[in-house]
Amino acid sequence: MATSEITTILVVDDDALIRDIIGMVLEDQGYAIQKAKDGGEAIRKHQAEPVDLIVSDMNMPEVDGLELIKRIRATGDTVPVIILTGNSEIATAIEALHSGASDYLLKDENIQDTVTFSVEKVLEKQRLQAQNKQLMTDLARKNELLEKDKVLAQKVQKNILPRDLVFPSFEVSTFYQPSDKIGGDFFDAWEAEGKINLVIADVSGHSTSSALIMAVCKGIIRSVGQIETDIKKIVTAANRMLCEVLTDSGMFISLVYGIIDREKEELQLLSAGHNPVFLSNGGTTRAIESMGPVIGWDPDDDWDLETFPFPGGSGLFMYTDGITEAKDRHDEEFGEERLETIIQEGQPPEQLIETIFAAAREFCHGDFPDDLTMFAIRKN
Amino acid sequence: MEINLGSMDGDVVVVDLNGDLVAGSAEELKRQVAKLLQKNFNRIMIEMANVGFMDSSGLGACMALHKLVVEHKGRIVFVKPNETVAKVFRVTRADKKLALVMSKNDGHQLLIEKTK
Repeated sequence: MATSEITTILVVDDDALIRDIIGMVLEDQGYAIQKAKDGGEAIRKHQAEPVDLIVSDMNMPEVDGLELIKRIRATGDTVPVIILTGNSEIATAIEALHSGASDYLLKDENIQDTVTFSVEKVLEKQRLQAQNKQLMTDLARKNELLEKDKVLAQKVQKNILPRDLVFPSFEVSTFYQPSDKIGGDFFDAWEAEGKINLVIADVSGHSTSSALIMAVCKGIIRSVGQIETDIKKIVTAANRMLCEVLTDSGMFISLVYGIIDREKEELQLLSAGHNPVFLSNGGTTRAIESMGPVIGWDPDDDWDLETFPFPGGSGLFMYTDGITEAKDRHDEEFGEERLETIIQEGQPPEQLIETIFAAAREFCHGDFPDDLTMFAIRKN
Repeated sequence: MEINLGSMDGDVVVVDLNGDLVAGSAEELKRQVAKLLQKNFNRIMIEMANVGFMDSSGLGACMALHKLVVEHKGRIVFVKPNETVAKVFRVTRADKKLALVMSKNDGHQLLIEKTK
């Protein structure tokens, strides 16, 4: 590209009169003009000082128009070239288009008008192409930054979740797979004064906003859960705080909060609009359904609480609906029944989660559009 | 998802949904209803019979619409969700917060009565 702001056009023709006429016409339109008498001279001039566009005759001694295009394109140069041709050379002109010419014009009595239109058209096309290329480059760069950002967010989010959960005389296993690096699911577990607190939650949606709410929600639940031991009070307080955060976004959180009391061998459960959790004890498995609304809609909502015996050998499996709503190619959901059938086999937590994930993955061919979270705990 | 607008007596706007109510379509539905409210149409019937599946974003959109319409002193009913969708409303207890009806006539009655 020429260095000046003015567009420079190189006019190439062995006929000095044609060169001058076309040069004058284009100069009148405000272009800077360079001239060459054949292809060889044109290439030398363009190499010494690149122009923005070349208007070239087809028939010239030594290096003709076709050869000029071929040599220029061979270097990877994309400078637009408009070919001027006589009636008898149409076939050659079309060959020139195939070789990379931008346009061709008949050298007739209208050439003064047609050359101006053609130059404008070709330059506009080139401008659009350059603009398009720039936009694509910008987009690719932005995408790359976004991806890097997501990878960072993924690491941060992973650190928010508890790792290496160990509760003496219990076996615990967890699984967490966001749909796109970051997600709106979370789980948490901690023990205080002989009581193991368990939480699994699913923030609606699975976008960046869900991930933000997930972090806030987990923080609130853990903070309240560490100073309060009554599940109803914990969830009610968390709901009030989260309603303030979510206002009219329509977003919400479904959640299960459980407390296993070691001494009483009891499990207290509160499910706020969450999919069923599965409790196995005494050789049977039962689904425990939601006991109230989801969190984040109404600060005055409240929930019922249920208490179950949780002696040695009892197991609790909690999950988010990314598992059950995984679909096969016929749009059928993996569903709760398939899940319950696996749970009834009575496998230990780690193996149970592996089996469920493998079955769901096979069912939906690995296409999980939602976040997946599983939490299994069993008392030895 | 296809969203078609129709009308019934008493300035009731029927928003007929056809397809899955999920993230993208949920946003579009919110936009459409917000536009209706701007034009002072605040008796809204969401026809759900042809919604095959609704995810959490879809449910969130229903709740957001409900809040928005109530803020505009209007009324919104959700008509004839299929069993899959109804279950989502039930599990989350949204059925206790939204007006869910099983026919357009019931929905129409509710909208007219409530806004008399």
